[in-house]
Amino acid sequence: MKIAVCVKVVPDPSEITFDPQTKTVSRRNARNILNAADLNALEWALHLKAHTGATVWTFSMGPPFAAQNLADTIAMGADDAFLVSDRALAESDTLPTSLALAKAIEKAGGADLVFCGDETSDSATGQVPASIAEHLNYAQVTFARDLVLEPEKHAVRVTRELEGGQSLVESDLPCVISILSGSNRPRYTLFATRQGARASFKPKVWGIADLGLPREVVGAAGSPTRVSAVTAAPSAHRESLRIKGPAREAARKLAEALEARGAFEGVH
Amino acid sequence: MPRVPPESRSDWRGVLVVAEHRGKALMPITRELLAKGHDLAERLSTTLNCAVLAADPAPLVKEAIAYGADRVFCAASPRFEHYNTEPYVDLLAPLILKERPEALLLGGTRNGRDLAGRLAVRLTSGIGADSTDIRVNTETRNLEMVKPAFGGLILAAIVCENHRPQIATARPNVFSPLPPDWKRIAQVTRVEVPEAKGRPRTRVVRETYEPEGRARIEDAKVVVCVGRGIGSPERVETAAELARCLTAQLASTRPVADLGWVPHNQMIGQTGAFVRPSVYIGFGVSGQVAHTIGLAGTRTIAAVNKDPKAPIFAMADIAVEGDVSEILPAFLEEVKRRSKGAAQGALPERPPQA
Amino acid sequence: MTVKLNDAAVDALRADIPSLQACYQCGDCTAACPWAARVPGFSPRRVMRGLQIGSGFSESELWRCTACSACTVACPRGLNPPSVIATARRRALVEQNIPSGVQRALESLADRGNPFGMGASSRGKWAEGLGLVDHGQFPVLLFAGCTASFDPRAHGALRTLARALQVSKTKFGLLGRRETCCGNEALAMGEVGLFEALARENIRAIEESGATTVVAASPHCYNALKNEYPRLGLSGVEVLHYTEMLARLLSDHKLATPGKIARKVAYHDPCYLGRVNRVFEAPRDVLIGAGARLIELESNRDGALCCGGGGGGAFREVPLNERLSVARVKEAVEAGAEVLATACPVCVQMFEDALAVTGLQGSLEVKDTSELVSRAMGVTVRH
Repeated sequence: MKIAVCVKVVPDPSEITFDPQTKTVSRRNARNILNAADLNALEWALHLKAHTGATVWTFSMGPPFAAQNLADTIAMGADDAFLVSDRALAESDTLPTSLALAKAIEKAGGADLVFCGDETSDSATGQVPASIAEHLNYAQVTFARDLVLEPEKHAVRVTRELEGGQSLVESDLPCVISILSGSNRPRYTLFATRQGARASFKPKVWGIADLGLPREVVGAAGSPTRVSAVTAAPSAHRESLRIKGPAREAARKLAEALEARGAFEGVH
Repeated sequence: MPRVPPESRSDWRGVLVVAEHRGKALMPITRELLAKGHDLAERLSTTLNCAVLAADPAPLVKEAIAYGADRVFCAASPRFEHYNTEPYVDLLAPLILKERPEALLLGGTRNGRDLAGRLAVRLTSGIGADSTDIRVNTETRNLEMVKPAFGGLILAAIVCENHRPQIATARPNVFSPLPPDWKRIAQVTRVEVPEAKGRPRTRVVRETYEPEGRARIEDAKVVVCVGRGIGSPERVETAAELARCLTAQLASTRPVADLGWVPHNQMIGQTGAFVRPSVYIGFGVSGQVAHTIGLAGTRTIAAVNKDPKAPIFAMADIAVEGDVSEILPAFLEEVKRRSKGAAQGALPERPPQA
Repeated sequence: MTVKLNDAAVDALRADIPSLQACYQCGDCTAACPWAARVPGFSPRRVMRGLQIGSGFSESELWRCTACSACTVACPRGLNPPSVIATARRRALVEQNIPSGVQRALESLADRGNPFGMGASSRGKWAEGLGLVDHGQFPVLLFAGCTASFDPRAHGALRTLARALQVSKTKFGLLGRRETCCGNEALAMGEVGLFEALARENIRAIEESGATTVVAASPHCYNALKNEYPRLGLSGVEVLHYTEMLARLLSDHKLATPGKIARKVAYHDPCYLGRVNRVFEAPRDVLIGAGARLIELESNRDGALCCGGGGGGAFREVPLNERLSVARVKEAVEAGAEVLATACPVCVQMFEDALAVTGLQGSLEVKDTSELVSRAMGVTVRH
């Protein structure tokens, strides 16, 4: 059984700031880490590996420095890792991104299961897993809280978590599954093991030519969407608003301040 | 569609909303999308369409029309009883290529995103995902889909200029539904459901629904947290009532959990839960670091405490200095007052039990 | 959830801990252990035995120890059970037998250089507005430590300490963002590799600063810098705890405490300052000199009760009725103290927590010694 896990290297969310002058997001202080939900996905794959002897390969699309984070997936227990990296992929939206990852999985021989985190901490679209499934023509099940393999049936039973409920889905293999963030506790990697992997492991690196992708279908050229403007969200500046005074007035000001920050979107 | 050159873009007209339903009623997100779709269709001088795929579409069709659809495409089949990716995509993709809507609106719900990601590739188009606002340029007929990114730090405006349909998934509870007009008439078109070629690759075994209270604290979008300064279990009850009014989760710091005033699995902190809500309101929370490390990623932090030097104020966006025993009940009154105002034409919040 | 040691692991453990075989199971450690007194069935002697013969033992037994070293003092063979337990914990980490709070703390240390999940770039924020030097070279280095740097509650003590040093005209500086966790807790939690990486980073930064004296705000950092860093290359540096520095400055008349505290103060000896590193009198001298009416708690100096925060204790959930910090604050109240003074930011956190949960906030104040001394010095700092 082969399990492919797609991981994304993202800037540490706790260190990202927005510069309202230049209107850009500053990642200056942010280390590059593996997206948290992808670690839950990898943990599921390693859990299945322990029980079924499956092979686990990790895939990522990113700049060359992502190789280090892929080494971390090896330290955690993955068997091999592949990095799709090419300048031509810059500014790709979810369409070419999912295409590149799908092509990489195909080139590596395909998989029975493809696990992805449900969404990333930076762009948070949550669209890539379903898109990968369509590119690969695999079945898909998204937002999985729990899954059970049924090897005799060559199938998997997945508990999807929906708003206010759950859906139990049985899927044939091969299948792409997006894993709910926080659905398990990713295993701890001993520091020395991580250092060792970083020093010795090099992922296979593929560019668009290796994947047979022409320039027109990747990068900005291959992206139907683009970002036309970026502004700071109302809550981006943590300028504290101080409220004092008699209780009724303070309560009213608190409600107003929360409303002004869009905090009550979602409350009827 | 692969790139649609400007001269062919006039072929693509209309806004299409894909309905989500549970049992015999539409999900709230669909009513919200119909309202937004109606607004966009008006600005674009075009029709608002709704696609209803269900085992028994009739009641849903009626509801879609009442909430604003000018035309409903309905497809009836047992395979549409519960949402399932491939039956939906296999019906919708040809329908969309035939009817050519310029904009496709889906819920930013789990099912909506499941569908959008697959449809976008099937149709070779782009998505403005998780939008909190959708504007339109009536000249170019391009949508501007605004979404939060980087944990809510920025708002990014996404455009899909050269491909059709432009797909937007909308965050739930952002757009307000129109008041229903059950006397509205609209065109209903039955869509033929092709013979299934064998069984679908994924099959829904069963769906179950949970009463509200069972949601996990980690998934909470709004958190009302009580600290030691709350003072008594009676006041914790007041905070719990506030949480219900705000559709929020009640949480606590460790001392309060230790005292047994709030269940331990609702404790936020180093040795408890880590939360990433949009809003956190702390009552009597001093802000010890062992608690606040569980709040990283909260978009808006508000805190009420009588100690002006309480550490939580250093990280709060809204700092209220005052007595919790007075401010909490006053704030509860304020929230109730506001929601009564909004409740004109209120809608059922909870999806119907299947 | 049992940590089983297979033969290869036991052999490796024995190779790690040569002294393990010297334990002759006398039980003096258990008699001295504050956890053994409160938790039925917990026994350091049994943990040592389990490691000797390779039997399994539970996660809670392995992670109970807060490195207070009461056992070390009691052991007739000069053994050090906390460090034996730390080595066993390394096995537990590999076998994924880790309390979740401990795992979070370790992962945060590896990624961000602090156990709290706070961004590394905000490490020096506590010093804003004080005009302190955090680059270049200086003879005295103030090593802030993670707890004091990131816990707003501890900023007051740290800022007043820095201000006091300024008033004494001591030429000192900070490492600022080049400071990373001292690694003391990482070592106690079994992560030798992580500890060494953190230590090497700090040693490099200390050498670059040219400092010949390092003053640690926390006894945990003090312990690591003084006892663990030399074998990793730190040399030619005198390591002091801040109470030792204050005592020195006061006796050299570079500082004075004209205002008198005039409160009944019970001093709690932090484990890493008192029992482990034998610094008992300097904090007391400083408090008495500042006019405190010092009272001694029944368990003091060598016999002081641990606050429960060391050895990863601050990252673990402990049931209310077992908490050492609760017992300690009650002890202070019963002794008639108005203030429980200590010299460790972790102790301060643990005791404040204990006050909150017992409702004793009205009966007792918890203060770091620097706060009391600064008040007596007439030094105030904006928050």
